[in-house]
Amino acid sequence: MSQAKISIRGLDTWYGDLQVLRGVDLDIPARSLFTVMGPTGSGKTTLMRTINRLNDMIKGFRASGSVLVDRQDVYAPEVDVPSLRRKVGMVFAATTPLPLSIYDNVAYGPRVKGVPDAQTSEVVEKCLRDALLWDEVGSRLHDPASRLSGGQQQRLSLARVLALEPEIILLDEPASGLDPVSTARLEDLMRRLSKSYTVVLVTHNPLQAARVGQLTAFLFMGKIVEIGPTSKLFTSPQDKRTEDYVLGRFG
Amino acid sequence: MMRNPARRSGANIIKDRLGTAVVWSSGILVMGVLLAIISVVLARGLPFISLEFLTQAPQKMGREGGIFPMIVGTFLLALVAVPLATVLGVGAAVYLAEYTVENRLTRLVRSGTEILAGVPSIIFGLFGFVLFVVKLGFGWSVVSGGLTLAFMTLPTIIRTSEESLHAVPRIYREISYALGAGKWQTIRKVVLPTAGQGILTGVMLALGRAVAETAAVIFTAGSSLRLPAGPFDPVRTMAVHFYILAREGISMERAYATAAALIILILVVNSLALVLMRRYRARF
Repeated sequence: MSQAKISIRGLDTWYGDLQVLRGVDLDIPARSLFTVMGPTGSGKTTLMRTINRLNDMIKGFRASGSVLVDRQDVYAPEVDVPSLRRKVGMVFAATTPLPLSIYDNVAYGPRVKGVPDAQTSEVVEKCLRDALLWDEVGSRLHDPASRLSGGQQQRLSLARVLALEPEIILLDEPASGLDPVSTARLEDLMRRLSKSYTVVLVTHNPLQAARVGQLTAFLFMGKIVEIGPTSKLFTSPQDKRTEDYVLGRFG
Repeated sequence: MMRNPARRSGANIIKDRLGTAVVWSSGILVMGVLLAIISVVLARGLPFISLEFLTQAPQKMGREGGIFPMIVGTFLLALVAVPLATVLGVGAAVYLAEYTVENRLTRLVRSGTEILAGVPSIIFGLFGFVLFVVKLGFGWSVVSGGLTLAFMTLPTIIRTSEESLHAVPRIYREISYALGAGKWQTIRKVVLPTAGQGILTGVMLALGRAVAETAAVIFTAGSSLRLPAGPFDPVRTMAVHFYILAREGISMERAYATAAALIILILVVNSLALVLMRRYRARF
């Protein structure tokens, strides 16, 4: 049995008749920064949403194989899905915040869980600090979150997830649509967070994958083509498709 | 010599101007009709409105006196109809939008709602008469009138609420679920508040209809000139009152005065709604 934080074996997923993931095998170690890279449409988002069971929302979605978090199958019938989603936090590609104030966005998770208000305000401040956003918003917590810039909204999404006290953080193309400065900041933040959390980054940009993460998996058309230490994947890839992708020949 | 491609042909310019003229004329015509109606009624009715008129009961079948019981009647019926229609309507809309998947049954229900929304109010009046006044034995009363108006305005509220719920971006629900919320929590904390503005519009429309309705009210709430003592007493609304005054030739002045008061009430209610909606929108 794998000691990995997340352990996936033989994962196949379908949306109705369309198969998206084919026999995915993956081990993601605890407290690491793991990147899943691949061209758009290869199934990266599907893979992430299968781990926190967000795909349950979609009619016609089916999965077979095993997805283990802490050696527990997330699709077991006795699993409490809301608890799972607090353990496995997700930052979406779209930076859109909830139509609430900055404070209420971060406080959303704790409030849903039933955390008392006094404790919540401490949690909100801590998470905004951890997400490197406190300095910019500390004085205007009750402003609508929609007024923040894209980069700030993305850090807000991160703060929102941190407020759940997760163990795993999934980031789905978090830097899409962000300027290089915001992107660099976000990548720094991910490196820092990977010391305490298991951070999984999904990206279609091989250059970003090369910058970020200790381990990288190349997902192409629903299949894991190659996994390995990032530097090795980029300097001496085993598979020709990996080589073509990292050299920018396609994708 | 090169022809300037940006210069439009003569025919296109004429079409453009004609289109603009048609659109403007329609707008002016509509505004004109609206202003004409309001100003005629106010011109003929305002002179007869006084504090006594608004606070006294009618005398001699309405030939003299005021319209206080009618004002009360209008409020009472709206008070019964609107909250009931809102709770039922928003509830039905939430069920249709959030708890069912799009299939033949939901499309059937939606078509049914749309057809109901177009049914003439007098048919609702007859329906209310048969069901509430006669069958259930409520008689001509505030209850019968209120319930009938509730059912009459229900389809509008269901339609506008459902559309507003569908307009809530999907990502909000996804974020909420990803943060560990359940379905009802998500609806309560994110979806309903976001759809709130649209839902409020539907409720305001329903309120406007309830306040101005005549046919459905006559058949169910009766036309008693007295102040109702309880919910099962008959009551006359302002709209019914000026209809009767005008039709029976009792007092044209008081008919216009009642109509003027009603128009002012509707304008006030709608302005309030606009203010509420603007404040709501400013929050996000």
